[in-house]
Amino acid sequence: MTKEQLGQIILSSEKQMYATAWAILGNEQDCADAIQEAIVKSFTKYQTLRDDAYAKTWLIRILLNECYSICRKKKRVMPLENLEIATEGDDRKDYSELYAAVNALKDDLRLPVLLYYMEDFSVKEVAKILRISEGAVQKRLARARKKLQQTINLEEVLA
Amino acid sequence: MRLEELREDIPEVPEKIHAMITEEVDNRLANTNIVPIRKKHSDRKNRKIFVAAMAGTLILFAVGCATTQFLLWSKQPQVSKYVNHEIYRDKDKHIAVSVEELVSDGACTRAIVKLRARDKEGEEWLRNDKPDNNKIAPYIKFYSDSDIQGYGNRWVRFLDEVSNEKEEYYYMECSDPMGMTDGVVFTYSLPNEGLIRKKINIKNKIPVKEYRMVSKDGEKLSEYYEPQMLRISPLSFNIFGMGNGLWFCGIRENHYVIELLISVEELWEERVDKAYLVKENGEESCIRVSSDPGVIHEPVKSVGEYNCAVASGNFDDAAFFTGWDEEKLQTWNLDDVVAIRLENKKKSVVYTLEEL
Repeated sequence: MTKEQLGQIILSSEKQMYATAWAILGNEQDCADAIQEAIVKSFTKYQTLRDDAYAKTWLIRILLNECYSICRKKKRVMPLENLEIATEGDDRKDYSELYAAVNALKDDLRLPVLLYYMEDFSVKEVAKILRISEGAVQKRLARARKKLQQTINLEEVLA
Repeated sequence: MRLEELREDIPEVPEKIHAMITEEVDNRLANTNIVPIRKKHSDRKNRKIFVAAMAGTLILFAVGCATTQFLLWSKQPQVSKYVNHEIYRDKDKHIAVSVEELVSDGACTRAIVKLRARDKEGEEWLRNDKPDNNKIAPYIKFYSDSDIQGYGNRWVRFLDEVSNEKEEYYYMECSDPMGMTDGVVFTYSLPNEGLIRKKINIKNKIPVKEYRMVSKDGEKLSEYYEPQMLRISPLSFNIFGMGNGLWFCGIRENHYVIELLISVEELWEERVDKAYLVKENGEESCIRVSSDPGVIHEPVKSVGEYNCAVASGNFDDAAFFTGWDEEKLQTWNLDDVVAIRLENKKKSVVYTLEEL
């Protein structure tokens, strides 16, 4: 993959990157920070990507690492008080009941749902991004659907 | 209600983030100074190996004069003599693992790790069977022994261009901004073994210089902190100082509390987000600063008389990201640096450096 191709992939994945970062971090500044770091790192590492077909998956994986890194640091520097961070999540109130319910899921269930349903990654790709088996992705999606059905009126779900 | 409806809820990308992404991509595409990592094979035969082992799990290494060179640091005369070679080896019937090179200044530690297949089964294990077979975040891990809580930045990069089906190389890095790293904990596994954890002591660390930072006329970068000391080596820099009104640290309701006293937004405005080394002739070179918005501060990172870490960064980042190519790294002898200029969102202040 060339630098230019990577640039195109990043620009075309802008929405997915933001949605992913938002789902984990829930505030704009942290999202910007994570995305910027992910872009910088992807440009230094793009030559290590063996299979271009997984470029987007790889990019989202880098972004997830950055998001987790920010979460870890936040947890470290603000261990006892959630300070401003807690209230920033309130921005999400404009979204649908379904979105709110998905956001209320724990990380291990929320991320597969987000990546699979919102961002159109295949089960195989989600498995690669989250570094778990395809079977585990399917199980988590099933568990998430069950939880969502308990929370809201989810009439139809995908297998 | 269907789960696919979630797509309608994807948050719109804010304009400023869209602009940042576009600008960042443009900058990267325009930057011709991204230096490819490569491996030299010259004089391999002349490599001298000095490896010693201590009892138990503690592995002691000594330094060789190897000429196999992988990374930028080998091009820096200030660094190359401090690169430790052939540090640690282990193997089973199918795989050999080795820490080939390691360099550290106590704050930033980097290493090259090699996995080599010893037979066909080893090749298969490398290709398909090793745990968490993912080149972005492989199963091998590497962290500073002083980083008890595991918070130091650490990352691994698979070196595709020097790897093949029989040998895989990884570049590993970990940080401890307080500069207290005396060793690294290296974890890996072999086909016939479970997880193996070894402590590798670091010898031959790169000397670090410390400077008092003095601003002209006592100008302040922020009312919340005062940068006072620069600790720098050819590998990394860390700036420490005194925080003022940023944090509350103490007992509250029978619990020890570390509380940020300003909003995260204010902290974002106040933090150092750019730093420039300055030569006597006024020439400047931007050095990369950790973008962690929480990096100003951190009472937990107090060093000596200073109660906060103001900013930090590693220099090969600078080479990769801000135009410090190999050539410049050689010509920029840190002895030539007379000042450092720090910027935050609000202002820019030059600090002259007085060696401590």
